[in-house]
This record gives sequence, structure tokens and C-alpha cells, in this order.
Amino acid sequence: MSYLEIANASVGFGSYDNRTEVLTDVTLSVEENEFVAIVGFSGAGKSTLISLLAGLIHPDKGEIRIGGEVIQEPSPRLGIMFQNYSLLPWLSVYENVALAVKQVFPQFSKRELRAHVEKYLAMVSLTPALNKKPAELSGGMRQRASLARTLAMQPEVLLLDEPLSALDALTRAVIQDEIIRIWEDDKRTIVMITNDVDEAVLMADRIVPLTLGPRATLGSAFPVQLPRPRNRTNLNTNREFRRLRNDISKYMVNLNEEAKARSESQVVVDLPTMMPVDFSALPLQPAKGRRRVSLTKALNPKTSFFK
Amino acid sequence: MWGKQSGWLASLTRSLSSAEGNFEVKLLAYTFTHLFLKLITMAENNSDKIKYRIIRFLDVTGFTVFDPIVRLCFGEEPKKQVESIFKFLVIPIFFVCCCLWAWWTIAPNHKTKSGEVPTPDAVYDSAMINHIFSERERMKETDFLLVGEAREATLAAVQADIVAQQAVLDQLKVTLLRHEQDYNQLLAARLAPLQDELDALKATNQKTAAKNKALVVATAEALEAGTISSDELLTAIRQESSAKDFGRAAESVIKDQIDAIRSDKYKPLQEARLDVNAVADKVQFLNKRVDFLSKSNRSMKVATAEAKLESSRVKLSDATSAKEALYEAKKVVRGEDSIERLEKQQYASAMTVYLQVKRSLFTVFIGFIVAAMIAIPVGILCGLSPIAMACLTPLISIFKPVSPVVWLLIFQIVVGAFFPDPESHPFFLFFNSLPLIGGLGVNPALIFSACTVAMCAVWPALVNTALGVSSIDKDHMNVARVLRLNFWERLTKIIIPSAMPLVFAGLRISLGVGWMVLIAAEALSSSDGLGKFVWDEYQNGSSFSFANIIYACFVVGIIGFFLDRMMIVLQRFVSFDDGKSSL
Repeated sequence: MSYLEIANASVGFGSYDNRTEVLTDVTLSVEENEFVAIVGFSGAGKSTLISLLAGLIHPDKGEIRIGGEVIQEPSPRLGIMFQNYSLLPWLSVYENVALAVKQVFPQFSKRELRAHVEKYLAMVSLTPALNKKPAELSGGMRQRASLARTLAMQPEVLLLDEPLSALDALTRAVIQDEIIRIWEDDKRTIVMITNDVDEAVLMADRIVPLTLGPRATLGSAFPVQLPRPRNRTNLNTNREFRRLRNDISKYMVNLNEEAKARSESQVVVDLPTMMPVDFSALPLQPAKGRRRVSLTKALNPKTSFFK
Repeated sequence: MWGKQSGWLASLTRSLSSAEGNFEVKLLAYTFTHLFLKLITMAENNSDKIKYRIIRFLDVTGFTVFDPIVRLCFGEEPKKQVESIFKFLVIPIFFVCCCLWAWWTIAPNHKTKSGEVPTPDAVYDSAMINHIFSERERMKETDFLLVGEAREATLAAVQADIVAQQAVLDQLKVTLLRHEQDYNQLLAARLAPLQDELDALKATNQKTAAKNKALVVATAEALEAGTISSDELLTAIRQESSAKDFGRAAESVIKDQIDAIRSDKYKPLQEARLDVNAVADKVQFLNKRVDFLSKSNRSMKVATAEAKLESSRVKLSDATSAKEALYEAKKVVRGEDSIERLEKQQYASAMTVYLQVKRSLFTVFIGFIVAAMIAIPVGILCGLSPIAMACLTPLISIFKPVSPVVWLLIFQIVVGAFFPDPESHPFFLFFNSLPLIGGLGVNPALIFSACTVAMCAVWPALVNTALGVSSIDKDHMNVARVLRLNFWERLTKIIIPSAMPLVFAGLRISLGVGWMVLIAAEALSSSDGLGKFVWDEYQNGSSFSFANIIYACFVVGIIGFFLDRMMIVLQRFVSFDDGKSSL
């Protein structure tokens, strides 16, 4: 039994007859202190997946379990870092982090609280901005403040929802290094969602791709065997890195093309109204799938043109 | 700005260090210039700090239009600041002056029932009159309360002043008489030719009328004789009447000319009259002061009452018969009571504009605070619970558009029932005994006005608070869920701070609405205040009333502006998104 697992979860939105199935039959097992990266296209349902893991939404079918217990509601044990930082704009950086710490550690005295908050802000190199409001910070600094808040709660699982997608490439590199450093100092389970394959290969132990929505599901995982610490500069020459990256990229691009092909050839055909005839004497009808395949083949201009 | 000086000093230091001379002098000079340099750099850094502090103050209070002036004073980019000042200060001031000029030229051309539309200087004069009136009331109040030596000294000074002013008045009256004579002469000279013309015209018209009448009679006789047809008679009659009309029209032309000349104002006479009136007014006021310093002075009144009491006491002790003793004893007791009352008596000041402004502000703040105390909790409840919102929406929708006048009338009846005997109701006795507020005279009319203000001001605050509370960012709610905040913590730490900007925006609108409503309510309910001032002036119909009404209009506007600014500053303090507050 793994530490954090999603067992056949499905989530959909909308009313009863107008439902959009976002995730279908998602299964994921995360071991303790493992770094898992989930890559996927935009709009595939990545944020929904993380919200499921955090307990912010409930699956229609299936369960999410941590250490064997089902997750009923969000808690500071599952530290989620939102995609748009979610810092409270009327509080300074210090007060934002302190709010979280006070909830998780109500027994701290004032001095202990201050020391704890300052330690985590120093960890993300944000000490000069202690008393600034989020509106006065740049995007990278806000991201780091959000990370500090999540870390200060000392959660068992860290759920990062596209933490670096809104930053420029240089800041991204800096914060990637910080996340890796923090994880190596103080190992804990991390599930990170990203759309950058390089970043996933650099940081993760295992990469799980998310297929395209609607009805997205998790594909088969790609384990990353590269030894740590991983050096960004000479990773490009590493054969294993290049293989992994190409494999994953190819897989994702294939997913995209299949989806495109599916959507192009999805034609709604009105079948003529037929009365059922008793064919009990005739042999069995061909399988449903084959009839559909033959229909798409028949209607695809490529195949029918070059008959 | 200090760069040149510091460079000069630096070169001086260098030349000093390289010059010949004994060591002590050089050292002294060196330290002196060093200290001076330090002072200048300190001033430079501090001046920057002061400049930015001033600019931030202007920004918070919303007077950013004065920004370039401050920057110019500190020497930052003079050309750019001068451009800014020209564009955003000089041109608007010029535009306002153009509006004033338009007012000045258009106003005298429009003649109304209450006299001419006043020009700006007439409004300014009425402002000065109101100011002088309130100054005089204050002087009278101090005179009323003066005791002992100060009183005697002031009395002597005032009496000397009266004598001086009387002399001036006599002189001015002489000048006035002279001007009157001149004016009469001038008028007679101008009117004489026209009058003659009129008389001549009247004579001619009479002659023509008589001639025409004779003609008509002759024609009628001719008709009777049968020589002329009836048509000719009719033409003759018509001719007669048209000649009469023509004559009358000519007369009235001349009469109009005469009237125009009569109504022309003779400037020296007008000015002389104004001077005489001013000094006479002053003399009258000084006489009033004498009265307040001698007979009506509180200490004097107490003294006379005590003298009477003393005489009554003596008579009581000398009383022979029971009836006389009883009579004197009653007088003694009454005398003691009246002395006690007199000692506590305050000067009953007439209402001046400034007192009315104070009262209006007091009323509007009471109404506003009551409105805020109702609107904010109810608004939070509505924002949190959709059911409460659905329950209150019909009430809000129907009562929001109701005019303040209607509320005032309703409240006068409903709230008036609570105070059947306002003079002795404990509510009013309590408030009138409070030190600052008691002076304003809390009475039922004030309660009615405050209730009306509250009723009309509650809706914007309520709606905005409900909107602010219900439209919290989903992310913030997610943070609350992840941190497992309970209901009360969620409310105080996330919901209320997040809704603060909208709440204060609503309060700002509320205060503006309340101020507008108050003036209308005061005008109708005759509760002392600016509204009552305007209403009294309108009913009064004195020569200054129109100017006073326009003066009151400006006072209301300026006070409303400052109230609004105050709310903007408060709004800035609680807003966290640096949003620009509207004009």
C-alpha cells in the first residue's frame, strides 16, 4: 500500500444531462518521500487532479487515500501551493505565513512563531521582503512567499500546482533549484504538476503523463533513473536525460495528434430508422467496435479516396 | 540643487589643504568646511525625505494636482513641473474664472420677483455679513458674561467708541443730504424736457379727441338726415378709437422713458446711503453692547436681584403684621430662586451660520453612524447567507427609491409618538446636559432629521457591504479551507478584510447621500441647520436673501466636498489593491 494513492477516481462538472467528465478512472500511487511530476497539456484537468489530492473537491467515483485513510476535507497536512499564489493581499508576507503557522502550531509562543516564520522565509530567500504586501512584490517573490507559507505548515505531502508556469525562464531556474534543495534537505512527498518536460525530468523521481481532456486519465509512468544531484548544465549531454525527454515528448505529442484525429473524424451521422428484423437464423453481428472502426475508415477521406 | 554649492565647497577644501599657512588655522578651516558639507548632504537627504513625505500626503488626501508645485519647490525637473502646473492648475483656474465672469455678466440681466440674480460680489458681501453677524453674537455673549473690572473697562471703551462713531455718522449724513440734493436736481433737469413733451402731447391728444368726437356726432346727425350711409358712421367711430389708441401709445412711450430715467441709479447717492447704513448699523450694535454690559449683563442682573432680596429681607425683619410678613417672605423665597436661576443663565445666542453648520454636521454624523451600524451587520449577513439576501431583496428594492421627504413626514409622526412631552423627556434632558453636545440644543426636530438621514443613507452601504462579502475571491476561500479556519476566524480574518474596500466605498456614497438628504430634511422640518437657514431666507424675502441662499449653496457644497475627501482618505487606508478612487 503506497502512502498517497488515488484509486479509480472520476470527476465531472455540470448538471445531470450536461455533464463534462474531466477525469475518468485516474489511478496513482505515490510512495513516501517520492517526487512525482505530472505532465500534461493545458486544460487537461491538472488543477482538478491536484484539488482532488488536496481534498478541495470530492470525486464522483473512487477514493483518495493518504496512509490508508480516505481524505474527506482539506487540511494543513496536505500542503497545496496554488497556481495563482493565493496570498491574502491585505496581509504582509510575514503575516501571511504567520497565519498558516498559527493554525498548524497554535501552541507556539510569539518568539517561537517569529523564529519559525523567519526560518522558512530565509529558506526561500525572502527575508528583505518580510513586511511588504503582496502587491509590492514581483511574481517570483510572490511564488516564493506562497512556497514559504506551504512549507511553514510542515505538511506531510507537498502538492504543487504548476508552481513555476507564470514566471520567466531565469526565475524559474532559480526556484527549481530552491525546491530541489529544500526537498533534499528535508525529504517529503511531493506531487508537482508541470507542463515543462525538462523541468519534470530535472526534478522528479517519476513522471506520470496526463492524457488530454475531456475524460483524461493518467498514462503509464516514466521512472527517472538519473542520479542526484542533477546538474542542469551538463544534463543536456546526458544520454539518459535526452532519451527520457524525447520519449515523454513523443508520447505527449502522440496524445495530441490522436485527440486531433479523433475530433476531426467525429462526425454525427443520422442512421436511417430501421425496424428490427428477426435475423436469428443469421450468424452473429460483428462487434460494436469493429463497426465503428469500419465506419471511420469508410468516412476518412484518405482511405476512401485511395480505395 | 545643492550640487553646485557642494562642488564649490569641495574645491575650497582642496585649495585650503594645499595652501601654505600655520597648522591650527588650516585645521580649523578644514573642519569647518567638512561640517558644512555634512550639513548640506544631510539636508539633501532629508529634503528628499521631506519631499516624498509631502507628496505621499498629497496622494493620500487626493490633492495630487498640487504635486508639481511641491516638486518645483524642491528643484526637481523644473521644465516638466512648469508644464504640468500650466496644464493642470493654470488652465483649470482660468476656466473657473471664465465661469465666474459668465456669472457676473449674465446675472444682472435676469430680473426676478426677488430682485436681481446676485453677482459673485453680492454673494461675497452676504458671506461677510453672516460672518460679522456671528462675530457680533460672540461679542455679545462675552459681554453678557463679563464681571467686575473688565466689564467696567469694556463699557467705558464701548461708550467712547459710540461717541466717535456718532460724529462720523453725522458727517456722513451731511454728505448724504448733499448727494440727495444733487440727485434731485439732476433728475429734475433730465426729466424737465420729457415732462414738457408729455404735457404738450397730452394737450394735443385731448384736442384731437375732442375734434374726433365732434366729427362722430356730426356724422351721426348726417346719417339721421340721410345724407351719408351707416358705413361712414362706422368708419368715423373706428377712426376715433384708433386715434385715441395712437395717442395713448405715444404717451406711454414717453412715460416709459421717464420711468427709465427715474430708475437709473445715481452712484454717489447709492454709495453714500450704504456708508450711512453701515455706520448706523455699527452704532446700533454698539448701543446693544452697552445694554449687555450694563443692564442686561448677568452679573448686573444678579446684583439688582440681590439688592431687591436684601430690601425684602429688611422689610421682612421689620414686618409688623402677619400679612406683610407673609408677603415679604414669599418675595424673599422667590428672589432667592430667581438669583439661583440667573447665575446659571447662558446667553441665548441667535442662530448664526456657523452654529447651524455645526448642528448640521452633528445631525449628519448621528444619522450616518446609525446607518452604518445597521447596514454593516445586515450587509454581512446578507452576503454570507443567500436566504437572508433573498428575504431582504424585496424590502431593499422597494424602500431604496423612496424620497427623503416622505421618510421625514413618516418619522415625524412615528418617532414623535415616542416623545409626547419633549421638554421634560429624560432622553433630551440627558443629551442637553452633556458638555459639548448640549450647546447645540438636541430637540425632536433633530431626531427626525437624523432618522431621515439614517433611513436614506443605509441603502448604499447595505448593498455594497452585501456585494463585498458575497464576492470574495474563491482562492481566499480555498486558503481558509486548507488552513481549516472555523467560522468566526474565517469571518474576521478573511471575509471582512477582503470586503473592506467595498464597504468603505458604500459608506462614502452613504455619507454623500446623507448630506444631501439632511439639507432637504432640515428645510422641511425646521430643525436648526443649513437647510433651515436656506428656508428662512427664502421665506424672509429681505434684500440679501437671494445672495444668502446662493452663499448657503456654496457652503453646503464645500462641506460636502470635505466630507467626501475624508471618506476617500479612510478608503485609501483600508484598500490594498491601490485602486484609484473615483472623483
